[in-house]
Amino acid sequence: MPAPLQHSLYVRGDAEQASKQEFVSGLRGYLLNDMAAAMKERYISDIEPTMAQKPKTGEEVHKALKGTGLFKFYSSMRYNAQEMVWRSVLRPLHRSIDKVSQRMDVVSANCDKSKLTLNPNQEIPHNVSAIDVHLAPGSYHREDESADWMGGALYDHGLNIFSFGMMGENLDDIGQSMAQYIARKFPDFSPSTILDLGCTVGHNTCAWKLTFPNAEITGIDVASACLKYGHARALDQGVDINFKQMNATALDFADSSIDVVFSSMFLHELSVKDIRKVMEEAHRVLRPGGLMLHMELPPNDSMSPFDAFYLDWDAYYNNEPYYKSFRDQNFTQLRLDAGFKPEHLIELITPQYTYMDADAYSQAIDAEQGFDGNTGRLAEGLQWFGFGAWK
Amino acid sequence: MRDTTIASNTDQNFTMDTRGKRPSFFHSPETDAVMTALLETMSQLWATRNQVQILEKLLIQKSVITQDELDIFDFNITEKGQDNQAMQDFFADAFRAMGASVQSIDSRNQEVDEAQNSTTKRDQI
Repeated sequence: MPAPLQHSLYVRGDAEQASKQEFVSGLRGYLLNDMAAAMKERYISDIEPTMAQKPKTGEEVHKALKGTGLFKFYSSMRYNAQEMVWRSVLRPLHRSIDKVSQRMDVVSANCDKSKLTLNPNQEIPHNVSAIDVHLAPGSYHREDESADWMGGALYDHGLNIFSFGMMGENLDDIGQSMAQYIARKFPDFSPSTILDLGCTVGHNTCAWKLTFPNAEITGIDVASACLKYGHARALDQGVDINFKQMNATALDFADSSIDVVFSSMFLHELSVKDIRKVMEEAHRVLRPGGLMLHMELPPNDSMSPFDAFYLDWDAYYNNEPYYKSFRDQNFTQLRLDAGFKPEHLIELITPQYTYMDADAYSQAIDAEQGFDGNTGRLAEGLQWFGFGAWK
Repeated sequence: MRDTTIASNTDQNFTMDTRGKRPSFFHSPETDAVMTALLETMSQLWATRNQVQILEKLLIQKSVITQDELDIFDFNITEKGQDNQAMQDFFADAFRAMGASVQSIDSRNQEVDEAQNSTTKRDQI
């Protein structure tokens, strides 16, 4: 169940609205755990045995399942639940515009203005502007008449409902898990500059500051709505982060100037062409010995056909059209093509840091881990997948 | 019932809707629309259930009623009879379409057309 967001920009809504948020969060938990498991079971017992050939890809599984009642109900309910996520937070947010705006003014009143750099000429790229990504009305860059931060607030509050308590109490479990993994596995690595690409509201950017408090950390995004809100959110939580409006395909940073280039759940929203540009840019701005690390969904060639189909559902029905084309890529080749050396590639699977005792976490990451049906998937037993390279 | 209309702001462009066409998972878009209505109704039912719970808790906390009074409360025989009848009426309303004789709209249109033609011919005689 969603806990209250841990900052003063949080809007709960009245009792009825809060109950509806609780309902849709619980519904998603049911769909992604129980109903998804039932669909997999039915596929294995009733559908796959009737197929002429055992499927080799997620597309074949998708085709076989499409006509079944269970797929239709599952998909219809998931699609509706996704719409309900946004609807359940938009109404209370809209009713609290004045309150949130005032709170943002208060927390930003005495801040260092150079911490937020917006670029009025920043073009919103097609992958963000052409559709409502994740079915979120207005997408990441949504700016309402009297709330130019609405896209950020919508993302923050919506993600809290969407994740049904699985992304950490501060929605930063991905960032904390990745940063902690690097800090523990590579204790001699001490980055002084960290860049988070496509940071949205900076929830995972702040997590790096907790692990590397002496580093200068910058989050970039094309959506000013997210950055304005994220900047106030970080200030409210007392985390010193820079936010800059910038496209990750054209970084405004000097060559060899950054120690860590990080992203979380970002690449799968980009075309393959842009993913290549992002990796080339990461290679350019990294200092020798620096690290590129992307937390992402695992590649399709690492998964069973059913699990590949299951993750690709979002490409077809959740307005994330590049989800599948990204996961169809050869992740090794992408990195090599960007200039990284084969011996410097890194891949990791980590349990959720914020849900564990620190010692248990260290033991868990020391144990060999492989892909399973829960890697990158919001469900019980969730593990995060990361891949990248040292320069 | 709380007022959940948009009240604090007058932004005419405010939208709750996602751009683009919705996928139709069932044989007809109408079935998809019924699913949406069903899930929204479930959501409202959950919210209403929570509000009843909140009211019960508050009444008990403020010593207006006790938990025992709530638990042992029973309607009298007359009230039970009325309640039972209301339940049967509810079932009849909710399940009226299940098992009912149906026909395609083409067939229905044909019947009406035939009836109209027949009436017209009779009128002409």
